[in-house]
Amino acid sequence: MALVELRNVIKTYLDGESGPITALQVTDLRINRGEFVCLAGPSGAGKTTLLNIIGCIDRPTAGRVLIAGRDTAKLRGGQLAGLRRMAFGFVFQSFNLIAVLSAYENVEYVLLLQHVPAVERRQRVGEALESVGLARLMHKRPGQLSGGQQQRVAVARAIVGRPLLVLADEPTANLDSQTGEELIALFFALQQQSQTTFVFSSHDPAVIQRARRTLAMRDGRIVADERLDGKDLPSQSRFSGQIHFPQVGAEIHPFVRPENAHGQPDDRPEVD
Amino acid sequence: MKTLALYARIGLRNIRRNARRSLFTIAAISFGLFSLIVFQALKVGLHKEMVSGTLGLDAGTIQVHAAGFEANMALIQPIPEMDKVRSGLAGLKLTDFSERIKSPALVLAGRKSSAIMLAGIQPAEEKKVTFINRRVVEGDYLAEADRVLLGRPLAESLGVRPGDEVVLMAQSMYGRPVTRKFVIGGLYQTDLPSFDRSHAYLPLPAAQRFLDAEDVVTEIALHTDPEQAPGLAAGLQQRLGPATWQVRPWQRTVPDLVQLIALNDATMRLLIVIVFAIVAMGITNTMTTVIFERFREFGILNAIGAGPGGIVSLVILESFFLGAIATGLGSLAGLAAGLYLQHYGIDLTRFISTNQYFAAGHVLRAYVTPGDLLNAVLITLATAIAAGIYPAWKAANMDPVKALVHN
Repeated sequence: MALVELRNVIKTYLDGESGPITALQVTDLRINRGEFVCLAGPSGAGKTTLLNIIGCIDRPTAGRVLIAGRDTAKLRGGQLAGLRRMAFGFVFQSFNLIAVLSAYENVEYVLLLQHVPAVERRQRVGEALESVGLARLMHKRPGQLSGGQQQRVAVARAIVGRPLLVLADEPTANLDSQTGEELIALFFALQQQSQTTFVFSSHDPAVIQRARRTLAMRDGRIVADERLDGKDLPSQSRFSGQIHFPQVGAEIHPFVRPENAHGQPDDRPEVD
Repeated sequence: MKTLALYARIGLRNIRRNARRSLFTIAAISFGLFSLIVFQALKVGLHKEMVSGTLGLDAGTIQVHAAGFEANMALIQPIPEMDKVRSGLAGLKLTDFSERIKSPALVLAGRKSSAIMLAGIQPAEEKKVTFINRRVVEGDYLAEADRVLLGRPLAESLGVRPGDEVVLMAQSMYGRPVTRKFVIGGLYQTDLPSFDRSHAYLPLPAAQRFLDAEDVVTEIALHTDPEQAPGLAAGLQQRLGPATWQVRPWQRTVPDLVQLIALNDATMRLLIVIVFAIVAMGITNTMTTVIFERFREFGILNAIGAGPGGIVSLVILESFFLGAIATGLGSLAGLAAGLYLQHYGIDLTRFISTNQYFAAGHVLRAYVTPGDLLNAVLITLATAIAAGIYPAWKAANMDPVKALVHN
């Protein structure tokens, strides 16, 4: 079963002058567990819309979005928030950290929402920050960190909750090319270790070529789906071989637990 | 709880981060609370002053008369079975009272005359009920058995002074005209000239003899805690029985004072509503600005799964903290000002005309009560929380897609 499945998904926006604009039209898309996927395409291609719909931040105008086989259309606001909290990690272009919280507190916030006990919380936050190379800066606030460091805090925040899927929208757009490459290398290393699924968007060829699978987008449609099995990251990445991230994605939220102990689909009520 | 603690941390740090704006908001709320505490304290002080001034002038807090007394107050209507009344008062441990005989009279000096209410009083007991004894400005306070005490404005209009003689003319208890000369023993002066011009006092036995009303008492005026007067009056009335005696608390003997207090209370409530509507608008405005500025932050919180409840908690907590800090400052400032005004008061001599409500003096003292202070604090905190509800709702219901692209 695919982790993410989109069937005949359409997203249109109303424009006062020109009527409805179709921002996304995806007939069939499946992303399996452990994939390292890049959404490639120019601005306006529909990458962000697709990420938002996969991440349940936005709802499609038509079509179905299934996460681990479960239809998200039936979920209400609070249930969607619960799904986002437990199953997804987000990295945004503008880092989007909470300015008044330290790096540690920003990362810890996700675990507080998940009601993780204090001892385990401390351990996991420490490990997440260590895995992105920021253990020594954990008490700094975002304003005291460089753009690259802030984005790494955002990555730590995205993975600390042990999500099934990390979604990153143009995560390198506000970074210099070297820092951007290092970030993608970090993604890849984390993905290799934990088998967490990563889906990120970019229009930067240097970033796109790091992906195992590239979905090329144009005008809201996926125009090419290219898999590059066997491709590896360059050895100069300073993150290669240094990651000690513990079991990302090991704990699966009930919503996305595909089968129960009897091998049947789990129909328990959704979370919040 | 841990999540709430984090929201509390975020709220407090955001308040500190936007120090100037927070300071203005806190100052506005503090000023609202400060005003509320001071106005309320002044209002309570004003009411106390009005009550003590009015009741201490003549009425007392409770009056006992013969039943039907109000039907014709010009006649001398003796309180029947005085022993039973005195025993009823003793039974309720009401010891501060003065027995009186009152009658309309005319005071004449040479060719001048003036209509007055003549009151025969028990000089020593009267001190427990009214403050006339403390307002004697010339001569003495009913020290001699047959001397009359006049108000100074009346004496001035008659052209007499202590030691001079005046003639009192009245109707005896049996309807006969009675006339007699009295030497003026002293003059009193309250802050209410109209009262001073129309009230004269004799010792009770002298007045009884003058009015042919030996041992007759027409009025008993009591001094009690004004707040407890209705209950005590009802108890005394029950003990004595309604058919023969009439026992009335000051709320019935001076109804215009009650109405004035009620009017003041209503005005104060309106003032509170206006002040706190302004405070609420200030907080709402601040928090709405906060939401707008941190649109993206709330979008992030939504995206990472904070949920509407979490975002509402965050915004309301921040609003509550603004209110709580302001409450601390405002209540301290209000308390300090209230206590200062309680001690030193405000001299209103230049600002108010003389009236019956300020017969005791023109200095208005504030009066801070723990209950009023607590109410003010609770109103402020409730306003702060209520003012955060709309921005919180707005933040919780924002479209995360729009929030995430917001600059």
